[in-house]
Amino acid sequence: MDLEWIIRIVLFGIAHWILAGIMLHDLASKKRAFGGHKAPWAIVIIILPCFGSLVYLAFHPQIFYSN
Amino acid sequence: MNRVYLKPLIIFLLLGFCSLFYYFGEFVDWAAWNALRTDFFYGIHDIHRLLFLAPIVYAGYVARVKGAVIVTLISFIIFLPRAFFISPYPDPLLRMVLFVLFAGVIGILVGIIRNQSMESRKMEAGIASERNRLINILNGLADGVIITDRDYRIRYMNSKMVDIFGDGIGSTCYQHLHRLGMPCQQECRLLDVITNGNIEKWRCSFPDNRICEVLAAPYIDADGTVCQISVFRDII
Repeated sequence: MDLEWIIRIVLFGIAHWILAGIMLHDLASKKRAFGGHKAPWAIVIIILPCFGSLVYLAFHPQIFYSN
Repeated sequence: MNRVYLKPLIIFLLLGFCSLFYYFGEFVDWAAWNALRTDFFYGIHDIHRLLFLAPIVYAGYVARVKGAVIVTLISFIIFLPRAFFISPYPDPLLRMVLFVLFAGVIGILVGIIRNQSMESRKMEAGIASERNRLINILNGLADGVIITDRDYRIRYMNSKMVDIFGDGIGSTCYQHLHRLGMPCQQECRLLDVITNGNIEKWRCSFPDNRICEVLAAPYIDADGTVCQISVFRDII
């Protein structure tokens, strides 16, 4: 595989896993997630790179207030 | 609208506007809006990226470090398609990554500074309430309490002392309490207390024939000045 593509995938992976880490941490600390179940959200965050985290963020904007 | 959603909405709107601006050239091409075709939207997008500082810094301000990191990563994801597939200019990925690092650091610094300012505000409020509590305790005492500095100036009198002698904060103790033009020669132990840090006890008589037992100790005031705190207990 071309080196440039490897760099692209690595960068995308870094962005995905940092975002997923933040979102999963927030999901774990919540008593109740949007829709009532946490497991589907965890799967969406992990399976859909970046997009899953953005969808979670759109449905749980309170994450900005959790400090 | 629920206020909880207002700040995240502003962040999302800012990101949306910046994204639209960042890819405006591509939108113009896609929609064939030839009247809007300007060289500015087809050049190197380093200037266009600067606009993303607004949502990143705002997120750092309202949502602290976590908010700044999230919005920086979202901006990074928004930059990726141009850096990977669109930009014909050299090193698009490197320039984009450098900007993300720069903007992320600024956002995180804003979050840290905001955190610290909020903490110091909380501490100031805590100190003020503690001070008020102490003043209330001193005002509730049956004995008189005054604080005097090295120049014999009264810095604090509790309500018992104010009731007896009147408010004399700012005037000298010998003038206000004893109606003298100079410090009391025999009775006063102020310099001994302040200079040597001793705790002294003596009897003190006043012009109205009142006699008090005085207990004095050194006290460091809020501005760091060493003062004397004295408790006056009526004997006669």
